[in-house]
Amino acid sequence: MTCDEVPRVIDAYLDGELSLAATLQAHEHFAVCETCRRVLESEAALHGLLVQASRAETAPADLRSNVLCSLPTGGRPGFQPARRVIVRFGIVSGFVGLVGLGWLATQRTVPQPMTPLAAELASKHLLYGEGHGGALELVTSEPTKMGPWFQGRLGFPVRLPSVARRPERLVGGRISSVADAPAAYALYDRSGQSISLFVTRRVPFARRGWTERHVDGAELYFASLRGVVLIWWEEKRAERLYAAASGGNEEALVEFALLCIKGEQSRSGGAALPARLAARPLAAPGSRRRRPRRSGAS
Amino acid sequence: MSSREPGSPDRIRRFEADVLVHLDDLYRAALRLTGNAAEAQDLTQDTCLRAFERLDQLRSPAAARVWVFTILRSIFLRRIERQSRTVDVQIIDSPLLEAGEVLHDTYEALRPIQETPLGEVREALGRLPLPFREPLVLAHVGGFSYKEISEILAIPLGTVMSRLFRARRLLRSELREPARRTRSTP
Repeated sequence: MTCDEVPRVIDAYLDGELSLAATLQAHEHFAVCETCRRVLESEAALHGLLVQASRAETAPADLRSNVLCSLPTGGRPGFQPARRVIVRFGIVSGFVGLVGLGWLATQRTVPQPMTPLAAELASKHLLYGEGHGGALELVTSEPTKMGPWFQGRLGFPVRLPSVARRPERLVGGRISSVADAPAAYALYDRSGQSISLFVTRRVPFARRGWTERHVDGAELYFASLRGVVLIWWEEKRAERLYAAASGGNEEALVEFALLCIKGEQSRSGGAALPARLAARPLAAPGSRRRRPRRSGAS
Repeated sequence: MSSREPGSPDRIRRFEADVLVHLDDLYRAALRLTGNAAEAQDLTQDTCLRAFERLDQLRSPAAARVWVFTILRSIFLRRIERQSRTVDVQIIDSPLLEAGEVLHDTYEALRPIQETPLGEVREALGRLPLPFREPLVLAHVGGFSYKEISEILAIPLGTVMSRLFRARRLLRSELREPARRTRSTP
């Protein structure tokens, strides 16, 4: 090997990618050539620095648990042992037991396979929402600051609900993503309970696996995953998808969703809203919600 | 419950053994690609979720590492595209290195490079154009071979070598002259 050849092979030599024969040739050359040995030492130092700089950081302690929490689960905890017990009881008790087992089986609803959208929203709610604002890029209780901040970064307007006379309080927001598209993320607090609001472009096939309900004229899609209640709706004219997530009760989240929709309705004067959103006035907070009507998207 | 069902214990065990075992490296790579801890967490989490959904596509546990890093890169690139950030691709990939690109005398002018603070190295790495940063991250964070990097980036082996070579030259130049920045990219 000559000095001119060294620069061509030095990276591969340090990366362990040279053939055995070429490695031995390089070895021999470095042993006798002071200049190339200095080049080698300098290159090795750069490689070492890159490894140190890249590997010194570790993942946050809660990342693993957040990932595991966000996995779509198809079964309920404890379902398998319970079923086993029931089956054993059925065998012992004969016909009566079998009837009982059949009855139990009909009572158990088969869990819906969770959609990627639900899993993503729930995981991001847990990641940003349950960290008490640690993951926020802008901490503010002013929707008038938060809205322009989002627009400046995302390039589209984000309608935030007015919570001046509401129990919810804006905590702040950050830029996130939903279904690989940029998304606004706003965090609200309602009596110590985190509520996440996501705003992004419309998501294709978002309805799959969600339960559609019409609540006070609004078309909402519901799911729940690992104790996180999820609701999304569309602002059809702007082709935006809004989604809210909370670990609290569903009723409060429905109120919040309707508040977001009402904000949009009052902003535009209700004139050009789709009929399904403008159909009837919103229920007052705490009032009894109209019984949800289920339609086909289960 | 079979391991093909979404939430079966077998599937979760397989996910933990094949994918989650790489969580630290995925996060580190995400951190170096995005340059932001919150975005890196987000990207890592999305990668794991996508890997879980597509676990059936994984042929063998031995292929898991390359597979999951390919997913991470694919999600990262899609985000960049959607965020309309420009990726600097104005580089000329030549499979063979030109001897003229290598300057022996630059080594002589260097300050002792091993004394460079790690934060400075990370910043310099973050300033590299993405096509150069990616193979460096895969080589030094992931510890991937040239062949594996070629597979993840979907580029020929010669291009991997060429990009790595140029990436290290650029990085060295950044560390030597931190004031003279290369073009900033995501």
